[in-house]
Amino acid sequence: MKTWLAALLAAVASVPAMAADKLTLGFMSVLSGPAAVIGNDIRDGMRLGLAHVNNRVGGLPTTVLVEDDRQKVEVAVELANKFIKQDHVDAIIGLSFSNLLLAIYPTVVESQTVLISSNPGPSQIAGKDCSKYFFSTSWQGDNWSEAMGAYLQKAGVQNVYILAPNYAAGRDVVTGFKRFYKGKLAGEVYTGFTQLDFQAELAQLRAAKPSAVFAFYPGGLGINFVKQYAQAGLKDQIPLYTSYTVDYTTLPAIGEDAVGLLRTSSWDPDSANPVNKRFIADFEANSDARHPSTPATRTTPSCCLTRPCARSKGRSRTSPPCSRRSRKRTSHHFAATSVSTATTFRSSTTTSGEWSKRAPSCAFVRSKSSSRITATLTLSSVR
Amino acid sequence: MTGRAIFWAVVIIILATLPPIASALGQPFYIDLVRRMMILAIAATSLDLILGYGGMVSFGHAAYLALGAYSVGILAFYGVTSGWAQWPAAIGASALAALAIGAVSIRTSGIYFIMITLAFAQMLYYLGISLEVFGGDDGMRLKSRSLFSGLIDLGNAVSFYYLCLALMLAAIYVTYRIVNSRFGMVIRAAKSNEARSRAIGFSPYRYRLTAFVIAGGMCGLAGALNANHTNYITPGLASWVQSGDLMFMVILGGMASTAGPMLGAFALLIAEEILKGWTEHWQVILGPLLVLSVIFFKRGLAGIFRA
Amino acid sequence: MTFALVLEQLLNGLQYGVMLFLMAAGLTLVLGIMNLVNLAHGSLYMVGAYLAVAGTQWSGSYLVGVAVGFAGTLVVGMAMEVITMRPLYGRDHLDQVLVTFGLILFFNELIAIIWGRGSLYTSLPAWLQGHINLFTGSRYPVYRMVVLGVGLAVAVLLWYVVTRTRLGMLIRAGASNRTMVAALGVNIRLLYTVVFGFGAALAGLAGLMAGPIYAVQPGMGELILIQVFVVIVIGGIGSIRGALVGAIIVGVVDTLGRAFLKPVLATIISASAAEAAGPALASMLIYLLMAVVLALKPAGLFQSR
Repeated sequence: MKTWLAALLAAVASVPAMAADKLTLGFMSVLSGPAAVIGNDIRDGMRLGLAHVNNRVGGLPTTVLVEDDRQKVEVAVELANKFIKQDHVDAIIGLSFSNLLLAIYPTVVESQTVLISSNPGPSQIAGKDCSKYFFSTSWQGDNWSEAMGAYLQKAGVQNVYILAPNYAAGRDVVTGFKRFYKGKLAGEVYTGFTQLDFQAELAQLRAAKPSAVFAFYPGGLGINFVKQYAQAGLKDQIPLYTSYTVDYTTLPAIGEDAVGLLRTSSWDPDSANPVNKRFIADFEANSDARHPSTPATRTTPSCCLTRPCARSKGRSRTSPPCSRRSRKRTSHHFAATSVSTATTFRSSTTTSGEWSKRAPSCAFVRSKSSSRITATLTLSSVR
Repeated sequence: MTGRAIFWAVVIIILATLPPIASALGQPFYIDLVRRMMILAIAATSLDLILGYGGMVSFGHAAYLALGAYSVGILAFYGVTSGWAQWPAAIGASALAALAIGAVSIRTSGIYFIMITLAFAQMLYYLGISLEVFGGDDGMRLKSRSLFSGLIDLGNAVSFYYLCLALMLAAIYVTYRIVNSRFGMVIRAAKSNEARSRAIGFSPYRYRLTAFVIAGGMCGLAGALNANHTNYITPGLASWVQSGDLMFMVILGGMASTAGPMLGAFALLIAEEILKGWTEHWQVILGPLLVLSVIFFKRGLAGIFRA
Repeated sequence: MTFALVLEQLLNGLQYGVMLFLMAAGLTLVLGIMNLVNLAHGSLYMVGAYLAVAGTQWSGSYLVGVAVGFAGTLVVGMAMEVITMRPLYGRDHLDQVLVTFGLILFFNELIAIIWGRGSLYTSLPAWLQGHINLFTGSRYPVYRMVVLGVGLAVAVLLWYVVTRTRLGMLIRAGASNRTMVAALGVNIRLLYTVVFGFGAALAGLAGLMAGPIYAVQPGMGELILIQVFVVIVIGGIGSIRGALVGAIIVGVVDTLGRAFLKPVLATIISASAAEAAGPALASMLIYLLMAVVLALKPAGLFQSR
């Protein structure tokens, strides 16, 4: 709750002269097609968050306009224009894909509308392209794959075959992976962004005889990929490691085929955090017993941006939005609770990545000199 | 004053006074909306030239829209931001592509012509997706709007609107003059009865190809305008759904009529906007509406106004 | 590029080709006999997939789902023919294109209203899961082999019906000269409805088989429809043999092109150029093929008239 509220309040506080009697938010996400599993969860998480604050964000009565960007760049751009020029929203929120975010980013920040992203955090807008109107309640795109790369490097795995879809986040994730995995690559393949049939790529993969496969396929792409991987008989031949692919949006559809896979993530439902428990209970109650997933946590208040953020509310406008910086100070400790047959966790976590202390007024800047990737993330294996 | 003159006078007055009225009402969004309608009206007019008058059912016309947009985008990407260079390049590139595509396609007819024009548009679509440099599937942002050495600022919504209005009227007028010229007569004769026009001594192929090229170029101009309007260029502009939309505009407005394409474009987009306001499932209403309009409403909107 | 890899990609190409054939067969007959361009054929593919998913969920059995999908699409197809296609028979192709385009919009939204816009994922029964071992040592998914088998079986069945039964004779006669068939006293309306219905059912079969491989979502038919049109143009309109040959050619060329064009190009031109040109060329390959075929044989490979 506090994340959401705090992030919004900080945003509201840092943008001048706004109508102070009500708040209009424009929510856009992928609500159709294979990736709708992600968008639906983000939307439900958002609605839950609103319900937790009785539809009054920052004390102001809030209306949220929900739109479907159909995973199409041109639709997203048109919706952004409509939100800004016709509906006069105070902030645009939601967003499930990095390429859509990047497409609307210049228009939105130019119009001085706040943009809050729940899922993507493309590295392209970290650093000098960062804007004080942009916030992300998630992570920077390459973090989880950095964790996986570090893990495989440490485990001494050689000859990895990489697969990812060919778009901004896909390339981001692979770059992050390669930043920490220094071994040999058996192949690096980018498939079409909407390609659903991977049979040809799986045949190539088999011929390349790698010792491990790292794949990133969000949403529906992940469902198809993992299922086809298993169907092709590759699962017990070549171990599959993933980031953002097998998670609680895709697990229901993937089913048994996900058993035995390893992935990196920054949240898992077995965390003993009481806010987390309340979130899970409420989410399942409100959305037909669907289990919440990581994207849902991004928009529902469940994590940690509490006092550091509230304190920053008082700072001047040139100070950076707090969302990322304060994450460094809080850590998510996911206890190693094994939950019967569902999931078991191996290690406790801290946040991945670290942001520069000398960051010039921007949340996303990464220091090149002082990045210590602390023990990354939850390694969860589905049993 | 003839009915026709009154019709056009009313249209021009309404469109010309829209920006001040919209600004006064505090709804600048409508300036953008009508501007988009006018840009697509130019594209529809170009399609009417070959479809309505020429009888060539080109299902890949949106390809020229995309080509025009990408010409502007690519030139801007490489630093050429002068509109004086970009827009003629857009028209030229589209015309050239139309020449290439038309040369092959016009040899066929009927269903084959439809399929082959569709296929060529798909080829361009896939080409656009695979060009990583220009963003591939994601498309690219227009680096800067076309600059016309200070004469007109496309960043200003209102001046851009008036430019589009002027260009749309020019396109309609040019098309009107073409179809009523000797050249246009041959095209229309060939559509009406090809055997007879051959018997008189005309070779329809050359005339059709020329019309195809002119239509391609005009659509390229619409593409260049569109790029400046949306500030974002994606390969999706070449998709067959976009081509289908253009064809609907022509039919709805009334084929082979001067004001038809413009009326069709406006009607379709207004219908979309209204329906979108009612329900998110607006296509379930629009689909049957289009079906019924084709079956029952052959003469189109222009038939009502006889324009 | 080992033999095992080529074989596996060949199998992939054949499997894809066979699915294209199922859709192309219906479409080419409709176009050949009834001179009707039906863009909504892709919507029938989608309807088949959705009905099968609904049938499986309702009954709990995969095979019941398949039956529901097949029979349901047959019914929907025949209804579509009676309601919307009949006014279009005399009209020119443009009208047919536009009306069926409108139908696509309608069907997509209808499905979205009933089932929502997100994708549906189905799981296969245990006997269709897993893999088999090819003689080359690689493994191939069982399900795709089954799809290949079903497609070939349907092809054989269609061949039998068209060449050895009375109905098939009427179909061939109708494709050749429909006015004469009507003049000879055949109930041409019923023939049309039956042909359209079965074409629709075949498309539905393709859809329900594709469901577990791709995703079941609104608009899934349009993605494959263009390639189906390329198939029938290459194969020749009205000819089922042409549809089969065309489908196999398109399926194999497309799959092998996407798999091997880049490495093959890399041996001729530089690796980085191949990296860029390879995928571009591969995706355009079947359209170039179609242009070449039309240039050499304007009516397609096999002609029915």
